Amino acid sequence: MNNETRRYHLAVWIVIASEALLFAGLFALYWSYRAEVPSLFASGITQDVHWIGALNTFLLLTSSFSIAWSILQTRNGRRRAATVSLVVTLALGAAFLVFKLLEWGMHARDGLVPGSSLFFTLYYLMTGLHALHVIAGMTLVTWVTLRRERDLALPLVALYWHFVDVVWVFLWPMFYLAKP
Amino acid sequence: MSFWTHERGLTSWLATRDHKRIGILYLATVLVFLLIGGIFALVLRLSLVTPNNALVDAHTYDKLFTQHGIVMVWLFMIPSIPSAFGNFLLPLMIGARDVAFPRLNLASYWIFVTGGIVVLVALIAGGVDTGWTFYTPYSTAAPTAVTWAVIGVFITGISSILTGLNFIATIHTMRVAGMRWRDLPLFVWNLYSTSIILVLATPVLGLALLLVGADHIWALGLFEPAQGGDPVLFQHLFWFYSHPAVYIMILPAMGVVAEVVSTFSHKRPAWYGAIVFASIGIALVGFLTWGHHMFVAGMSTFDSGLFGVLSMLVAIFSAIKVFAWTSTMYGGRITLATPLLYIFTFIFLFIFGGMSGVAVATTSLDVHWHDTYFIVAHFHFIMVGGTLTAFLAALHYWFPKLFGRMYSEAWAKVACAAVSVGFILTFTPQFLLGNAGMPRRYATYPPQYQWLHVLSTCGAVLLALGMLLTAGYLVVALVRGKRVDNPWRSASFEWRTSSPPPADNFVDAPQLRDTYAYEEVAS
Repeated sequence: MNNETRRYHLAVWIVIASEALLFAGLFALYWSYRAEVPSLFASGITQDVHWIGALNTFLLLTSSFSIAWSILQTRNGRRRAATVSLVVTLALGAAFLVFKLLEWGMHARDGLVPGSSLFFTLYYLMTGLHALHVIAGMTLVTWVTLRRERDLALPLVALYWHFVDVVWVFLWPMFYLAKP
Repeated sequence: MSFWTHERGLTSWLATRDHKRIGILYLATVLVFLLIGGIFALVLRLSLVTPNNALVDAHTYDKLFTQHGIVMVWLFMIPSIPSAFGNFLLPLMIGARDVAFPRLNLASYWIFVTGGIVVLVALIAGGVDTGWTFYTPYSTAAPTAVTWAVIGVFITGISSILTGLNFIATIHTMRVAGMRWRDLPLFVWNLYSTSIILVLATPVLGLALLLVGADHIWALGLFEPAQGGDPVLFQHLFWFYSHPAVYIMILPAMGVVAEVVSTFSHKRPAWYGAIVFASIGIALVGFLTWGHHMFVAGMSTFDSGLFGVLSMLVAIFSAIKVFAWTSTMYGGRITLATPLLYIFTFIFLFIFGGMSGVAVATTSLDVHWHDTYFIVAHFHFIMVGGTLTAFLAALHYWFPKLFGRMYSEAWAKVACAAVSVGFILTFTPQFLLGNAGMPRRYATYPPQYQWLHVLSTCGAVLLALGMLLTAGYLVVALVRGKRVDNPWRSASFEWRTSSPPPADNFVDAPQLRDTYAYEEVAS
């Protein structure tokens, strides 16, 4: 790695560390409240729409694969294949957001809005903050798709995209699977 | 041609990517905030001369101490040394032409200005009366401009994170060829430790404040007991940042002390490795001490004991540094110039503030002193006094570096005496007030406390006069000061280039040299 590449990689890792701490604050709140009022979290988790949670996990994990695939294609000099793979990544990210919106709408119809209970306040805050990160990640993926030079930028964007996926991998069990 | 005259015109400043110009912009901006925060403090002190609201009513008083805290902490002390002097000096000290990401550096400055303006908007839009700590549940229901204030502080936080990121990347990848980590000047090591805290602690504060803002707007009840929320959880999130934040303030100050002590003793710093170890140690242990702000918030005995002991660990690291600085001076050829005099005040304040810190980290004693003037005096001694004296030392030490001109040493010594005596006189009575039971943040008080409050206000006035005098002779020096290059005969890397430095820092490609080679200078 030359100095410039090192500099950018370091910067992205620092951003990721910083963002991880941003989520950590909410995670700390979640686990503290879960320990204080477990019943609220047990009933909250049964009210979430499980098929959307599972589907969204599938979408994001697949998008992580497709962006990794585009790096491989870029290294092999197949620019068009890499572009296709990036567009697939964007489509998967967009599908994730559509289903997320759908789920929020279903909750809102049932009267489960921010402020209705601690569980749902945290649910909206954490999935909402994550959705903002998905949007940020998609913006970066779009930028790198339109860029001529991808050798330096694409692995960095992919790193960030993986981070956004990893956060979801934690949110999924916390809001859909693991009852206290 | 220096970086001052390299380009001309307003846009060459406002859109500059030169780390030196950005440092100067930061310096000018934080000085404005220091003035604003200082005026708030002075009005507070004047109002406390009599037991019953000499100057302002109780509600105005609440707003003033809140705004004094917000402005001083987030708009002056956090950015003061790292963003102003750090930006200017870091590349010079490691032989680089600029920081790693110059455009990001400029963005960071403008984000800071934006945050500062939003905070000022909060002051105009009715002010904030929650205390700078924004404790819930009051802050989420307070009928004042809390939302504006937390958004402003959040924005300045983004600026902090970007500056920290830039410094870490710069130190890792921009060092002059051959410069190893153990060749780094001590100021750079302290900037590095500070940057780690900036990057890892600031997001937690940002989150906590956004939650307060969201709660304030939409009544989410996240910290509201009536809706099942737990207000103490906010305190945990807040102090997880705000305790390390005192090390954001004091670590760069310690870096200044190390440089000034070495230069004015004309001697290599003693115990280089120990100082580096202590800096990193403070940065890391600093993340594990936040609970000592919450001993009376229902914390278990075990947790309190643990946080107490961890807090005392910081005193060990700090003591290592004090011994290292004093033994650097021992046997040196000392020049008693203003920067070093400010460092003497720093060391005095640091020792007494630090020892009172060990005292308040002791749970049983803290119960007596919690939320009294004793705490106010403690953190003003160590955090404010430490940062302010080191900031002034840095301002005088590097004034010739920044501007290529010399200020009046005679007036500077008078001002230094006024600032030092004024500061100590302001806060020593507050230790006594707190110990006698005077709670903090009260606009009125029983008459038996009056003589101590009057003494404290006298100190504050003296301090203000000293600061005014400083502003006066420094402005004169900007225009009429004698042109100098390296008046201190410092061996440090940043003095190897001309003062003020050329636009790209070094005329010839910088060569690695020992930054503390005083044996060479002496001969």
